[in-house]
Amino acid sequence: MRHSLRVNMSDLSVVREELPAKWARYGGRALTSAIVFTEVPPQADPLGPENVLVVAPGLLGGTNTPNGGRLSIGAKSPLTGGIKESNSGGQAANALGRLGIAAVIFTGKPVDPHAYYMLTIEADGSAVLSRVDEWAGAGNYEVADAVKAMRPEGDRYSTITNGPAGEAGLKASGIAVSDMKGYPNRFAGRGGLGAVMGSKGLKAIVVSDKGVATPAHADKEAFSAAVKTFSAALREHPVSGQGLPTYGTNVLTNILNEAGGLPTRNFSEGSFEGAEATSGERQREITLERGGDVSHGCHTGCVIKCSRYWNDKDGNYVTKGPEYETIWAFGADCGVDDLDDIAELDRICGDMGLDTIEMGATIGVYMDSGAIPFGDGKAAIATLNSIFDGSEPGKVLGDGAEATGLAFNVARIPVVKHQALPAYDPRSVQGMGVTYATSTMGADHTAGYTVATNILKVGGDVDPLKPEGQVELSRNLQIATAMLDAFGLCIFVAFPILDIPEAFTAIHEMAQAHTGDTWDVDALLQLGKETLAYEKLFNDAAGMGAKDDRLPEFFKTDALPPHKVVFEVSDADLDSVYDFVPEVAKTLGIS
Amino acid sequence: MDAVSPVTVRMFGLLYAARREAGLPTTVAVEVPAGGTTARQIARDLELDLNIIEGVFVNRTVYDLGHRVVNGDRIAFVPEGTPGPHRLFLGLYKAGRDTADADESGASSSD
Repeated sequence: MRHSLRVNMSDLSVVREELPAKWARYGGRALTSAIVFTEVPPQADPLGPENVLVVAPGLLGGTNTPNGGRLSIGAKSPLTGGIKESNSGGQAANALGRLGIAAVIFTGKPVDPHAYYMLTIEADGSAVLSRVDEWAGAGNYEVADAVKAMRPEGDRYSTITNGPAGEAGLKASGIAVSDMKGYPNRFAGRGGLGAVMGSKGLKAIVVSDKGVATPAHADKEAFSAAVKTFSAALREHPVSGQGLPTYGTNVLTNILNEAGGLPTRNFSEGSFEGAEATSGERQREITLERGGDVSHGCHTGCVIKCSRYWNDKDGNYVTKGPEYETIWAFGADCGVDDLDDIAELDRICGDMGLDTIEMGATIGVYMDSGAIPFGDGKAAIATLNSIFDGSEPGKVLGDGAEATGLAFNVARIPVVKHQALPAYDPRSVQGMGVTYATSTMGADHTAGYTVATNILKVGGDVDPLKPEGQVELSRNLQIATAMLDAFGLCIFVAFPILDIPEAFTAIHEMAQAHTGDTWDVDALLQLGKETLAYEKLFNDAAGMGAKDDRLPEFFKTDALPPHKVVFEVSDADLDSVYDFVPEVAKTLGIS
Repeated sequence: MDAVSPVTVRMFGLLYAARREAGLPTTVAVEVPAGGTTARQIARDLELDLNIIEGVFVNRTVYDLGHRVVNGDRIAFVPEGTPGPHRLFLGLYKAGRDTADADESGASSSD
C-alpha cells in the first residue's frame, strides 16, 4: 500500500499517512494536482504557508516500467498564479516509488525565515528534517557535493535540491533532481516552484533506496510480460529507438527551423541562420569530438536514452547536453549560435536553479529592448549572472519574461498566464498555439505535444498553418499527456504508444498487473481528464478565466516570416478545449 | 541563356549522419529538369535510404515524396525518428505512407 509523507515546515513534524482510497489510482501529476486542488485555497499566496509543495513519483514509479521514472512536483505557481505540475527526470521518482511513497507533501513555513532544512528519507522509510543553514546561497552542484560527503560509503541515493534563485523567491526558479551519476542536472523547471521550495526553507531532499527492492506486483508474470512488450516497442520505434538516442531532443532544431516555426530573436522571425550550428546533428558531432557522452538514460529504467553530457573544449563536464528547448531559448530566441555559450548559460541556470526556457525567453525580451544586442552570447552570460550580483536589471530578470518586458517597455512579450512560451512558434504550429493558450499550466510545450503531427503531417489532415482541426488535436493530446504524467511515464513514449497498438495496451496491462485494479484504454483517458479537471477548476477558482486562455495579441497581428502567417484559431474554439471538464467534475464530486 | 537556380537539398537526422559517414556534404545543390521532378527521384539520385525518410520539406512545408520539386526550391529530407506525438492516433501516419506508395507505383503525385 502506497503512503505519503506530510512534512510540516511550521512545526517541523514528519508524519506518515495512508493515501486516501479515492486517490489509489493516482500518481504523479494526477496526485499532485488533486492534492493542490484539495488543500490549497485558490487565493493563497504561493509563497505563503497555505501553499503546499508536493513531490510525487508516477503510479508505476519504483517499478521497472520502461521510462516510468519521471517525477512530478506540484504547487500553486508564483509565476502563473495557477496550479502547476513541473515534471523532471532523474533518480528521485524511482527511489520514492521503491519506498512505497506516493507523495511527499510539504506544508507551512518555518518560523525562522533564515533557517534552511534538508529532509532525509532513509532506505528503512524513516524521515528526518535537519538544519543546513551553512548551505544558504549554495548552488545545486555544491549542495550535491555536500550531500555526497555526508552519505555513507556505497549508499544509493538521489537528491532534489534548490538553488539560490529559489531561495530568493524568483519566479523563474526551478528545482534540480540528480541523475544516475549524481549530477543535479535534471530539472523541474517551469512555474517558479523553486521559490515555493525556498519559501518553505527547504534546501534539499535526499532519498536513499539502497537495498530496497522494487515494489511487489499483484500479478508478477503479467507485469513482466507487459514490460517486455512495452520495452520492445520503445526500442523498435524509430523515434524512441533511433532518433532520440542518436540526437536527443535537439534533433528538432533543424526541423522547426525548416518549418519556419523556430522562434527567432524574441519571436520576430520563424527561422534562424544559426540553426545548423546549434542543431542536434552538430551538437552530437562536437560532443563526440570532446569525449562527451551522447546517450544515456535520465533515470533508472529509461530505454530511450536521449540524455547526454556537454563537455568543454578540454573535455571537462559542463552540464547535461542542453535539451532542444534550452538550445532554442538561449540560441535562436537570443540570436546566439555558439553551443559553448548556450551550454554555459544552461550550466548557470542549472546551478543557480533557474528555468532555462523562462530565462532564455527573458534574455530574448531584454535583447529586444536594445539593452544588449541579439547574438551576443557573452553579454547574455553576463546578464544572467547579474541576477545574483545584486545589480540591476538582475532583480527583474529573475522574475521572468513578462516582468522584464514590462520593466523595459518591450512590446512583444511572449507569455501565456505569465509564463514564457517554449520553442515552437504558434503561428507556424497552430496546434501548439492552442495548447499554449489553454493549458492549465501556462504556455507549456509538454502539455500537449502537437509538433510532429502538425509539422510532419505527411499527407495528413491537419495543416500546421491553418486553424482547422487544431482544437480537437490539442485537447486529445493534453488529455494523453496528463495521463502519461500520472503514470510517471516519459512523454517520449507517446510516439510508440500511438504507432504500436500493443504498446498502448501494455500501459494499462502494466497498471493492472501492478495494482490489481481494472485498467483499460478508457480508464487511461479518464485519468488524464480527471487530472485536467482538478487543474482547470483550481485555476478558475484562483480567478483565471477565458481572458487567460489567449495568446499575446502580437501573434494575431504580426505575420511571421517566412510563412507570413498569424495565429488564426478563434477565441470560441479556444474556449471549447476544456468543455469536457464539467462532466468529469461531476463524476468526481468536485466543483 | 539565364542561369538556372538549382534546388537546395538538405538532409537531417540519420540522413545527415549517413552522409557525413560517407564523407558527403549534408547540403547540396542539384539541378532538375525544366518540368521538375519528384522529391523521391532526388532522394534516389542522392542514394538516400528511402525506407527511413518520413517526409520532405519543400519551401518550408512538408509533403510526401511524390511532391514535385522545381529549380529554385529549397527542400529538406526528414527521416523517421522525430519527437512529437504521432500521426496514427489521427490516421495521418498511414495516409502519408499510402500517398508515397501510390506515387511509387505510378499514380498521381500530390502536386
